[in-house]
Amino acid sequence: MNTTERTNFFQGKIFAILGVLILLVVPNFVSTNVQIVFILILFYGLCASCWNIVCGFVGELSLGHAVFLGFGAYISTLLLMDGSLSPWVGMFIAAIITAAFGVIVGLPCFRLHGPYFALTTIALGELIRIFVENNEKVFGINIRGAMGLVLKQTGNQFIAFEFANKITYYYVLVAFVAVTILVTWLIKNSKLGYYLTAIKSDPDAAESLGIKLTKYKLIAMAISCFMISFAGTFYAQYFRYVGPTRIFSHDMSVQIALIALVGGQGTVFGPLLGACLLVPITEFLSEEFGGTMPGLHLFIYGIMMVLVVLYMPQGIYKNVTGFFKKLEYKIFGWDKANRKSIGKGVK
Amino acid sequence: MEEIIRLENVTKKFGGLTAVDNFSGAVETGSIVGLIGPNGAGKTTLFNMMSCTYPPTSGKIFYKGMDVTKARTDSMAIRGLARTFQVTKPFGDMTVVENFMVGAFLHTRDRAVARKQAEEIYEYIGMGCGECKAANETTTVDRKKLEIGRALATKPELLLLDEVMAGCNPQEKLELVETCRKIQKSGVTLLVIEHDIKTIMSLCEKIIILHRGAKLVEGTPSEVANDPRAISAYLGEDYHAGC
Repeated sequence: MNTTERTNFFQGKIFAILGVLILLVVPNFVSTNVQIVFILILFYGLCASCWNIVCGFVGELSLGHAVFLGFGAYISTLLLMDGSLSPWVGMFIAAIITAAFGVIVGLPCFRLHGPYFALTTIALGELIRIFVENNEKVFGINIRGAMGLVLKQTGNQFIAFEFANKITYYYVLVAFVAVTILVTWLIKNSKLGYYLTAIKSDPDAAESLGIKLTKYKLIAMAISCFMISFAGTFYAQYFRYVGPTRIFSHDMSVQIALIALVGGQGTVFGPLLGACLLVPITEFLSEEFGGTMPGLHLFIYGIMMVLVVLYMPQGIYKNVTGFFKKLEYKIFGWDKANRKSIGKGVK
Repeated sequence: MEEIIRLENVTKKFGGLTAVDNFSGAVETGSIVGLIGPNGAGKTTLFNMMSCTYPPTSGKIFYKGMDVTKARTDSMAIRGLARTFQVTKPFGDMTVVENFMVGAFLHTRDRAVARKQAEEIYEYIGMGCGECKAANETTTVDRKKLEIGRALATKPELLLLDEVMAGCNPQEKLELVETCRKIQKSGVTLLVIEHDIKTIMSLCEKIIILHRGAKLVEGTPSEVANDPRAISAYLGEDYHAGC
């Protein structure tokens, strides 16, 4: 017997399938308030997944990814407001520009490692935020400074990426997340994924095997920025407002990174799992304690974070999937045919 | 015979310390050359310069007749030079076969092809551990083999082995010597750093002794073993008597 892993008909995936079904179906039958939480889960899951493509695989901590999110939001929205270009087209233009910007930024940044890389990305985030807040015009383009961009409500228009109900936004987001997860999966199972994991493990050894470190890091950066730009477009269209103080904020960057770190960096589903855990807790706590004991929700949130980092430094992904696999075997046992073959193996 | 790599008056200084001092030498295609010397003699520094990890302070390095003194490390792998590390550097999160795949990806984009090649190398090198085992859970000897296998996966013409037998027991050393011979027979040139004199004397066709960064003696094993300079600097009187 080669496989010592126990398995049954569901192959340890029943709860994963269940989870996906919940995400797909349940938002149809809940109140708008709960739908908003679902949208936030997927939005942060999407951002964290994009962050994961470059930082999770390469192992550098970017604390400035909100910049690329903001770029996506700003460019597609400006194209819509000043150029009357549909966001469905604009988001691709935004994605290409964001990816190019990511490569330009990555070129010097990826020469740094560890805390230096993280600090530089923080500086980048703050730089862009302060710049946008204090400038009305850039290259003749009216970016409207600290006021931000306000999109008018025009009703339910597919072409303008504007929908009357939350659930349509939700399913658009589901599509975005699905594409991002697919891209992550493709990367993980390709030459690029192997190279990035190798670079993360040991850059010197990777280089000696002919891996061009900067080239592959920049490819990952470009893909990550390309994808997170879509999340930015969604943000702008969903909230109908893009303010530099929020979208370029350091908080946003940190939140994206933390969700991916807690979920499990370098895994395909980890960041989404992290969002499924952290976003509802944040929402629940701030609703429950936000009024009576302001700050308490942040306190609890912080404690949780410390616990996860202390006891599951690789993220919760492994532990959670392991737990659900065990649970599945308890409930369903494992496959009869397979049990026979295990018996043979013992003989 | 043709020379695969040639060093001309290579010097490397780290601040005030001269690690390699005006070294000249060459390795002929298809041979096994041993590089020995006391600790701190500059053996690994020499390797690092050959693999272009850092450039020499002065002097030139020629690989297959081309000046590669200022080449990039990753470009050397494409040219056909692979190396192992004295302190093993496995990609710990991956399995052993996946480690080999990273090497194999140098010449292919296809994951299935890389996997097949990696599995072939896994058989070829004769690892003792299970396929599924994570690379950082393996034993010392398997880690050394992993280093060799990963370098081999890039299909090198010149393989630099940096103390692959250090920390292995006599049985394992014999195994690794056999592996080295097998690799040489397949047409790969080997340059080997080793401290075990007996092993290196039996394995290599030519031996270079480094001492304080400079070349002390160069010759066949028997020439080196009987050279008074080599005996006084490194081998010791006992070894001479033992021969």
